[in-house]
Formats: sequence, C-alpha cells, structure tokens
Amino acid sequence: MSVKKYGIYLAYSPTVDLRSQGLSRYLGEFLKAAQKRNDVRFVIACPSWLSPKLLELFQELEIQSSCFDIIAPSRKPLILRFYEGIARLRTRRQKRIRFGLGQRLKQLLSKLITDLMLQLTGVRSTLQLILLLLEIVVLLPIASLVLLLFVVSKLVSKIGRLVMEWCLTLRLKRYLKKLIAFPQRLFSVTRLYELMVQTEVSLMHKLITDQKEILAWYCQTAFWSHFNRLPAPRLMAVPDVFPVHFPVGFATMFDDQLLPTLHEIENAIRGGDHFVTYSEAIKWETLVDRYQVAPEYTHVIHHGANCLDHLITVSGSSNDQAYTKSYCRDLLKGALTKSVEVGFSTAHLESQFSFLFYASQFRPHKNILSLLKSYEYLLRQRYLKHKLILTGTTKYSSEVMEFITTHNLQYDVLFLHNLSLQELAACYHLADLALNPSLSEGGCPFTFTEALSVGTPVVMARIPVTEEIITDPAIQQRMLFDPYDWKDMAERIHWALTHTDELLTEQKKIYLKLGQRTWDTVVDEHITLLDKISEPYSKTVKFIK
Amino acid sequence: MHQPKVPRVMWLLNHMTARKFEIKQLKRLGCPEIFLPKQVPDRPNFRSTSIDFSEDAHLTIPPEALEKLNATDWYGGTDLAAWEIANRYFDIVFTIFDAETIKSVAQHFQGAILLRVYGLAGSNSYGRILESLTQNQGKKIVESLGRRFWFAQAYPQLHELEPDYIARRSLYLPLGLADDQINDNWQGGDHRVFFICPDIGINPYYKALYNQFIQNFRGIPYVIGGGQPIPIADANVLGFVPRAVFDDYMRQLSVMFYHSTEPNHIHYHPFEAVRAGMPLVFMAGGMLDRFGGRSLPGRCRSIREARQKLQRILKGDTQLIQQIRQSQACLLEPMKFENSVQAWQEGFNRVRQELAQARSPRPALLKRRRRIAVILPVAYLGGSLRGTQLLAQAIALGSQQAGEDVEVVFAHLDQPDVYNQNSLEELDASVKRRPYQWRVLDPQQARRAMLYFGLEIPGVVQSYQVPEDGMQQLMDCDLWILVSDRLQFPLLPVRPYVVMLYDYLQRHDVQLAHFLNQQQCLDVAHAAQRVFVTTQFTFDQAIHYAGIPEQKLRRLPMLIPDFSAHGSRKISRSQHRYFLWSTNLAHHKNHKNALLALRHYYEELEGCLHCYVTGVNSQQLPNTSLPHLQPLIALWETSAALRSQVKFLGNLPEMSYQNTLAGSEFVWHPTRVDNGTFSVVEAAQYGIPALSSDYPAMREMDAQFNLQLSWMNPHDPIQMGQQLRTMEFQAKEIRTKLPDEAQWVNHSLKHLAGIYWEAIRECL
Repeated sequence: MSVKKYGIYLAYSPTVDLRSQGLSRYLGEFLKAAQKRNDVRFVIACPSWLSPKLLELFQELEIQSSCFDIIAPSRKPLILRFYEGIARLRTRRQKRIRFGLGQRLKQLLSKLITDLMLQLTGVRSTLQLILLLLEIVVLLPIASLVLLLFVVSKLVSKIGRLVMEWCLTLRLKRYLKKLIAFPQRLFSVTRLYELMVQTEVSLMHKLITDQKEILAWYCQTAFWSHFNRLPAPRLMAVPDVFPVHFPVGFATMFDDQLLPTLHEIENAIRGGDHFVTYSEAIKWETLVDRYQVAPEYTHVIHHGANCLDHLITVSGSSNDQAYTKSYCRDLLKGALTKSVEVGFSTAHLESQFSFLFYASQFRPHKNILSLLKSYEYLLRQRYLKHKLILTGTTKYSSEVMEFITTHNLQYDVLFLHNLSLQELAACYHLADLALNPSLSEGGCPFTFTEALSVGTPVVMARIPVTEEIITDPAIQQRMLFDPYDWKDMAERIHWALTHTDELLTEQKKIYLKLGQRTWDTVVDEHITLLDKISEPYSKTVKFIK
Repeated sequence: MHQPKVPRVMWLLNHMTARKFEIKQLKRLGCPEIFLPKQVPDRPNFRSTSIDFSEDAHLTIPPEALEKLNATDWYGGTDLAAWEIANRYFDIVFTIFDAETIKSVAQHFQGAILLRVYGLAGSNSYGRILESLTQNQGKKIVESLGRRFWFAQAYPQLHELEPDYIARRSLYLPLGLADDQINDNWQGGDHRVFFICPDIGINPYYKALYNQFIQNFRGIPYVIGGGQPIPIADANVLGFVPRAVFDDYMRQLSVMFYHSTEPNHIHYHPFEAVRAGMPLVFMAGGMLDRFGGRSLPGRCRSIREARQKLQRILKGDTQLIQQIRQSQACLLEPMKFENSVQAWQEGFNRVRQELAQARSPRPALLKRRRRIAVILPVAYLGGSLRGTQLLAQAIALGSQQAGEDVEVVFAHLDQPDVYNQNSLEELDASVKRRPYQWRVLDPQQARRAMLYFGLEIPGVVQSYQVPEDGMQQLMDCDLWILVSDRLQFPLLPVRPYVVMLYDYLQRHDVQLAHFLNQQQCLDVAHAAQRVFVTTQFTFDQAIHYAGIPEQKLRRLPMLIPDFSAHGSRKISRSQHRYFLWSTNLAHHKNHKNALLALRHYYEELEGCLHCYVTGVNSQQLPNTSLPHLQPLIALWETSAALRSQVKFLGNLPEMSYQNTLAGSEFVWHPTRVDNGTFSVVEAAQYGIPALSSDYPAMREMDAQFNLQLSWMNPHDPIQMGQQLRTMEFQAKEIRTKLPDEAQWVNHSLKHLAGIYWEAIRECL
C-alpha cells in the first residue's frame, strides 16, 4: 500500500512547557488518531529543544512514537544550553541550601563534645583520666579541623551573601531573576533570543527542504509566520485571534509582550495559503471580516468529542461506580493539597464537598467576573451550598482577586491551577454541574463533551460557536444562558442544579450523537483537506512504498 | 468482662494471601474462633481485597452479634454497638495501618490491639505517618493503650525505623506462605519477561515503575501482570486475569523480573515464581538479599546486568536458567509455615500475658465520675447562652437516663457582670459552673506543655490558647465541648474536644467575615474530634464550605426551652395592634431591607399595625454610629410614617418580653440568614404566628416544630412589605393551626437528651 506523507510544523519557544498548553492537548488527540492511519504517515518538524518534550508528551499520552518521524536540528544551540545550565545550577543551589554543610558540621562537633563530656563525668580513677586525656589529644586535631571547617563555611556563606547584597542592588537582582525565568521578555536579550530562534528555524527549514516526499504541511496554530516560507502546500489552523475582539481586556491583562505575538499571528494569516478554523464564527468574523481572507480558502473542521472517562473509570471491581468516585476524590484531594494560589489554603479540605466547575485559563473573553457575580448571588441569596472550582490562576487577573476578597469568596471559590488530565477528569466527574460562561471561543467549548463523558451536566453561554454544534432549540433553551446577563446565568445554574437528572438525560442524547464524531473523524477530514490542497503538487512527488 | 480460656481474635484485614497464612497460624496457636471483616470500603486501595465468610461457622457468639459484626465497616465506620459486641466476645484485634481505623480501635476496644504492618517504602516510618495523620496525637494514642498495643511486624527489622514509643512495643509475627511447597510445573516456552506491575493508571508509584521498566528494558519482549482498574494502551499489559490464566503465564513465560530494592517491603509474586519453579531475576539491595544472601545467580547489581541476564534467559541459556532455578529455592525458607510457628507462638504468649496484666483491676479509689466540660468561648448572651445551658442540661439528663451518670461542667468566661445568678437562672443545679479566662501560651510555652503532656511534636511555631480556670485548665474533664468555633488561637491539644456549630454566618455575611479570622474558625472545627450541628443547612455548610469530612459531623435535634413552664402570661395592654420584631445590631439582621419594607408597608400599602422592636441594643437603631447601619438613619429621618408607627422597646426583661409577645398579632423575623431563631418557637408556644424570611434553617425549624410560618424574601423589601400587609389579615387564621401543648412534649429536653448523650458517648 502506498503511504502518503504529510508534515506537521511546530516551533514553540524553548520556555514553553508543552504539556501545559491547551494546543498540545489538541495536538495529542490529533496524533493519537493519526497513528491509526496506515495509508498516511506524519512527519513532525520542530526545533531541537522541542523534540525531547515531544517524546515526553508521547509517553504521557500513550502515543506510539514509532508511528511518526521527527525531524529537528540535532543539538540545542550552545547559548540555550548555557541558559539551561544556569537554571539547573540555581535549582541545585537552592537544594543545597536546605541541607547545608554547616548544619551537619555543627551536629558532628556537638556530638563529639557531648561524648567527651560524658566520658569525663564518668571518670573514677587517675588511670581513666590519663586515658581520656590521651584520647582528647588524639581527637583534638580532628575536632579543630571540624571547627575550622564550620567557621570557614559560615564565613564564606556570610561573605558571599554580603558581596551579593553589595554587588546586586534590588533592581539588578530582580532583573537577573527575570532573565532566568523569561529570557525572551527582556529587552536586552530579546534580540539575541530572536536571532537564536531565527537560526533554528533556518536549520529546520533546511531539513524540511530535504523532505521532498512530503505533500503538504499542516500547522496547528498561527503563531509562526515563517511557516509560510515552506515550499510545499500549507494548511494553517487559526483557532482564534481573541485580542482583536477584546482589545481592552488583553491590553490591561498583559503588557507589551503580547503585541509582537499578535503581530506575528497577523503576518502569518496575511501570508497564509489555506486555513482551517474550528467554527464558522471564526471563519467569517475573524478571517474573512477582519483579515479579508477569501472564504473559499478557509475551511471549517469542528472538534471531535473530547472524552475523559477512560482516565478515571475503574473497571473490574465489585462496584465500579463507587470505586471511580472514590478514586476521583483521591485525585481531587491531591489537587487541593498542591494548590498554591494566594489566599485560602485548600490543603485541609476533605474532597466531599459539592461544587460547580469551570475549567479554563483566565483570559478577558472567559467572562470570569460575570460568573463570580452569578455565583455570589446564588450563594448569598439563594443559599447555594456548592463551592466553585476554577482552574485559572489569579496571577494575571487582579480584578478576579479583588472581587474574591471584597466579597469574601476566598473560602468558596477555589483555584486549582495546573491540573493533570486525570485530575481534570476527576473534577468534572465530581462536579454537580460544569459551566462555561465564555463570551467567545474558537470552537464549541470542550466543556460539553468533557463533562458529559464523565456523567456531569453542563450549562453554557449562548454564543455562536456553541449554537453551531448544539442545534436543538429545545435543549438550547435549557442549557444556554446569555453570557452578558449574570442574572440569567445564575437562573440557568440554579435551574440546572434543581433539574440535574432531567438535564443530564437530555444532554446524554446529544453527547451520544456528538460522541460519534471522534478525533479519527477530525484527522480524516484534515487528511482529505490536505489531499485536496496538495493535489497539484502531489503529481510531481512520488509516493513512498 | 468475659475472659475465655482460648482468646477470640478479630483479624480486621482483607488481604487474601496474608489471610490464608495468618489464619492458619492462629489456628495452630489454638485460636479456633476468628472473626473476619465482611465490609470493604469503596476505596481504590481496597480494590484487590477479598471477603471470606468461612470462619463464621467456627464462631460461637450469638447469631445477632455476628450479624452486626458482619454488617460493620471496620475501616473507620464502626459504631459503638459493634465495639460493644467486640469487647464482649473478643480479646485480640489485628488491625491495618489506617489513621481512622487506629483511632477507632484505640478509643473503643479494650483488648489487645495488634497493628499489623508489612513494611513501607524507603525510609518512611509508620510513626511519622501516624503523627501526620493524627495531628501529632499518634504517640498519645499509642501510649494510652499501654501494654495492650503491639507493633506486629511481619519482618524483624521494621521497628528499627520507628520512634521509640512504637519500637518498644514491637512484636515479630513473620509473614509467610500458607502453601509453601515447590510446585515446579515451569515450562518456559514463551520467550518473554514476566513483570508484575498493577494499578499503573491510578497509582503514581506503579506508573513510574512501569515507565522505568519500559525504558530500562527497551527491546526485550515482556508481559505485565497485575490488575489494571484503568485500561492501559499497551497490548503487553494483561490487566486482571483469572487465577488459572495467571498460573499458565507462570508456567509458560521464560522469566520473572522483580524490581524492588526496598529494604523493608516485598511483594508476594517473587515467592510465587520461586514456588512455581520460574527463574527469578531480581535487583540487589532489597529484602530478597536478607532471604537469600548476596550470591544467588538471579541477583543483579545493575540494570545492565539484569538486561544481560534476561536476554540470556530469553535466548535459552539453559545453564543460567538451571543455576537460577536450583539456587532460588532458599528464598522460600523464611516464608515457610513451619519456620514461622515458633515466632508466632512466642509472640502470641507475650500478647496474652501482657493483656492479662493490662486487665488487672485498678484500685477502686482511682475510679471517678467522668466529667464533661461545656465551654462557652465568648461572652455570649441571649439565644447562644440559652442554647449552651440547654446543651449542658441535655448531656447531664441523657447520661442519667442511660444510667451512666457523668458530671457536667458549664465553663463560661469569668465576667460576673455578665454571668451571674440571674443570667444563669435556667441552669439545672446538677450542672456545675466554672468561670475561666482564656490564657494564651506563646509557641515556646505551648511546645513545652505539649511535650509534658506526651505529644510527639516536630516544632511549634504558633501560639495556643487554653481555658485557665485557676486549677488544671479544665484538664480534669474528659471531654470538652466548645460552643462555637470562635477562638483566637488553636486550642492546646491536651483534651479531645467537640465543636457545637450553630452556623457559618460568615459564608453569607460579608461584613461579619471581614471581622473574623475565618481560617482560624475552620481550623478549630477541623481539629475537633466531632462537630455537632442542629440543622441540615449547617450540616451542608460544614461539608461544602468548611470541607469537614462527613464522618466527623453529627446532626442533633434542636433543643428548645420549655417556655410554657413559665406559666400563663398577662397580655400586654397596648393601645395599638402591633407585630413584634426582635432584633439586635448585627449585620445579618437585615435592618435596611426591613426598614424599606416597613416604609413600603406604611406609605404605599397603608398598613395598620404598629411595629414594636425589641432586643439587645435595638433602641439604638435610629441613631447608631455603626457604619453598616448609617443608611437606616436617613430612612428613618425622611419617613414620618416610620417614626410614628415603629416603636423601639429595647431589651425587655424576660417577663415583660413575654407579655409583649402574647399581646402581638404576629412575630416578624426579617433576618437574612442564620441558624434559625427561637423567637418564633417561643411565639408559637404562646399561640402567636410568625412571618419569617425564607431561608433554609427557618424552613427546617418550621418542619420540625410545625410552626405554620409565613414566608417572605429578605432580599426584596417590596415583597416583604406586601407580606406584612397580608399577615394583617391571615394571622388570626394561622393561630388556629399552631401546635398544641401535647405536640411540644416531643421536643422537650427529656425527650431529646438521650440522643445528645449517645453522640457524646461516641467521643468518650
């Protein structure tokens, strides 16, 4: 059988943790489904720093690495290795501080003195005393050495600290700290960083040029305008460009760091070839209206159902349902214990409480404040017993934190940031209701299938991307609310909580239908599209046997 | 107590392989009667356990007792009745290492307690875990058991890592195989490695082990055994297979690899391999070194060596296979049944001897009446004080009814102007008063006090508080009952305590929350042995707001004063028809909406009834300086109707209040939320109906006492006003539906005291 080869283009920066990216979840699901196709083989091109991270992602998501080819420059740039070395050193130094040498020497010396004093107080004869003095004479040099080492280690650490404090002003310290954490954000190294990325991209492109049998390239994001320089047909996914619709929100939430990214996205779109979006809304309102892309070059491929049940469903026990619940409670307890958000400590909470759940980062279009208003109303005026669990971090949203503290919600609204996939599934399963008040999304929010896959009903914002998928007016009436009206949101939540079984029964019917659209379908549709855009090109390329 | 010659044993574990061996040992020791637990919690770590009824036939205890024991969850969900049966018929308990189970056994079982342990990973110790799971009470718990406690270790070295209080109570009861005969059916035709690694999907330890195995032995064909509750996307992972299939793999696969280098823990499967004649390749440094020395040919010092040996075996290196098979039988020696008999015999004799010593009767003069302190931590008055007195009386009365007379001490702050003969006139004479002051111990003092008390504490960084009664800080009391969670610091953990929680107002009242150390309140409840609540609403808040485990909560019926005992009342001679609003200056009393409602009632709806306002400091309402009441002043000043119709009576004396109440048309309760108010109950006892805010606790009160309450929305002043107007006409009719005297008997203290005493008994 002839096997067609298509390429996947990735160029995330070195500081990106691939596993914490929403897009990498999409990539994971895509590759999982792609590995089942015997007639197509995907080649992944990426920078040198990304290939080990990619293999880690494969392992975590149980993707067979043998089903894909990875092409990347063989070694990381020296400058990057230097930076990573400093970062490692810093971690090691912190560890060492915790188990200091000085402390151990102090203990040893104290033990030595105690032993000698014990012997001295037990002396009953002159002979014993002479023997003991002899022992002291032998031990004295050792003890002196230990003492000396102790004093020297103390002195060195003190002098080091003084020198550090003297040399590095607070500002400089902060600058260095920032440099290590986010080198790409500092003006002085920005240029260096950009040059490194540019060189890496050139190397990648060289390797890609050698891959003559690849019929077309697919890029799952519009972050990289250099994707447009590839010589073969190209398909670029544009999940969304939210800052253009929420300019004030993004302008106040982020500093200038986002501007170049947006600029890059716009360049990528303007220089693009073929596009894929996850919804008609993004196709028309973003690509066609905002960037004047011709509609015939923009294709809509909806998401597949994102099911989480396989991550938590226990089987083969005497009571699978109860074990699953209990396992999920353990997972939630673990997530509560590691939560490090400012404010209220969640570590001591038992995981038996009821809660509402909204899984999302905090971004201006996520409508978190309206959700909080609704929740506060339900809690205080309708005596709702539930907590609200959010998965964003308040680090970037001072308004959220302010609302929380002003309204004394820090004990009821919990922020479980950085959940593992299993913990996410557990939260969905244990929640009485999943929510999604988002004002805008790239495609129908995963909330629906993720929650339903583990048996939890959902209420969501009435936005076009959702109405594209949930089309039945009767069920729309029951599960959608006006996201610009917090009271409507509150009423919908309240209704859903008092009609859980009824809502769940109806939503399960839709879920069963949506569940038929798996990631296999999504991959098939992408391949069909890649076939289509590469048709003229493929005539000049031989298939591999 | 019943003392049979042959002790009856409760083996409260559900581990299948250990059960076969240990029950056989117990029988050999002459213990024919053994109880095995039949209820297993739905927790993932209990998933691979099993239930065995076969020993029930040998038990000579009454069938109903056995039925109760069989229905009991011994892993933390054990009730008093089950422990009473256990104490009546059994002498020795084997228990697993689980904080809740240990606490329950230690608190209630009066025989020998054998904590059965099979070793932990790395350098972790049971003592350390116990301290962490019991908020540093582990040492105290263990030491309180004296010679009845045993650290029943399966391997002789386990106590070496333990703190002294555990190590000195160690007892070696070796673990072994019930069936220790070599049954060599091994054929080895399937050239793959057998590696046992269960629970990959749910257990991070096994997940890491699996990843490590795949990485270390890349290229070597393998089969992974062990149940997988969550399927793994690897065709070589078997998941659960029936025993016959498992045995077949043991026969056919070429070799088993055993990874563990843990010095204190070992799995069963390497022994099963040896028994089945399957070659075992294992890593050095683990417990197998203790069993078979360091010269076995299957032993590997590195992964590289293990890879080489496995590859040689898979390629059919018969010399190596034979060397391993012939030499590895020695690993079974310490696991053989007969080789463990002597250690079990000696260990069991010690248990029996020391149990007899522990049971020797104490001198009668040391026995004393148990004492329970009911502590009011803040200078509360009104309903809270009344509720605390009722609680103290209920405990005293309940214990008397149960024939277990205890002494109840009512501890209140030493403020004679607040707590005196008048304010405590309702307190029964059998309840003793004890004034105290809170004493705050700095971290150093607290640390010393805890060390003297016998707690194993790593370090103390915060202050603690303790009730200073000028004597022994209430330590003469066996249990403390704290009425509310309002403490400034944690309570010095020198006595178990229960918290009586009436509400979590701070969850609904932002103003109150800002004046409260909420975390501290939550911590107080979390550290309590039990938390008592009186409404389902507060019960729910405790779980869903405070995160308190449900097992710790007890919902008790509301106690109400017997107002009818005060005799008939003179109806107040007022020139007006009026309704009564009983309030104070607290924020949750919803004054603003109440006043808006009244204005609407008078100005828009032309309401005819006057409003009489009573309660502590209520006369200050129209001219108070409290910030949250400032909007009221403007309302008051701009409404002539309010000024002419609303009359502030202040805090009336008891009798005067009751006269006023008896003369009213109805009682108005516009509070936003709380744990319910007695005022509507009192009103109902006088035949007066009430219009109340609609919130959960009031709904519950209405249902419990059949109060026939009328409802209004406390957040909607217009609707509140309309309801006032409606009540003008409906109050008369509602009066006829209120409960009569006979119905109040069911809610009397006498009737409910027993329930309170049962809840307290669980904590003693």
